[in-house]
Amino acid sequence: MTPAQAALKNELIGSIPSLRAFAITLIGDRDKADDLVQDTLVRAWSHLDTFEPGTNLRSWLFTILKNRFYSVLRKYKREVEDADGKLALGLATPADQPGHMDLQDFQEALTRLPSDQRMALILVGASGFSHEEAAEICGCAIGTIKSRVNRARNRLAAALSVQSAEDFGPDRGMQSVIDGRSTGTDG
Amino acid sequence: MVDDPVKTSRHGKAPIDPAIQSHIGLQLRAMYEETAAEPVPDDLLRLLDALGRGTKVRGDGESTQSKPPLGRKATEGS
Repeated sequence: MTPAQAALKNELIGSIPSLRAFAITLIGDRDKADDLVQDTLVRAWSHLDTFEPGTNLRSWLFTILKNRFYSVLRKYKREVEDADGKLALGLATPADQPGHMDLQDFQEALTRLPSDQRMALILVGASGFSHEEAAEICGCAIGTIKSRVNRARNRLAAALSVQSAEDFGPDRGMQSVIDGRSTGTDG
Repeated sequence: MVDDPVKTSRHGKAPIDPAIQSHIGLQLRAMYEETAAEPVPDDLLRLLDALGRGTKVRGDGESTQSKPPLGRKATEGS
């Protein structure tokens, strides 16, 4: 390994945690996400000559992972009638459960989003990419990223507020407490 | 001024409850950061070692079908 390669290898290793976080948040299934990360690293390594030194390695890697993700998705869509690739990627979602919204509920709501929107939301809202960087990674216009993120947020908000309005809305939540209380004179 | 599209739904319905809005952001980052904080799995480290040695490695993923057209061999500096 040349010193340059060794340095890149270290950079690759340094990128793995965020690549995994991206993949796992995107897919929801850890094993499949790790497969995707592995696939991404192999491809990145074999295409190192296409990486322009001085540009953002992380963006480059995320782009590769994004491409692999869609390619896996397409493959499964051909095989199974599975519009969003959810079955294929282990995203089969259990029935809605009423009650408190925990991380799992959130994750389920997230997996119900169209993959484009989910990806945009994660890139901007969790991976810390700017709209511009996310647009480059996704190969679309900045405006498209913004609208995907907004739609994702709106959908999540709708799903989650239906699910557990009382967890958030001081109005409704408090109102029911107040309504249900005959005389509150606790000191 | 343009309405903040984050706060106003596409159909101009009631704005998203800010509490829910910020909850979404927090949950998303919590999920993400929890994973990002994990140590790198050994097999991924081994994979990189193998790649660095120039060992032929194939993505262990779902598919063993045809290699993509761009598959150029990483030219190993001697």
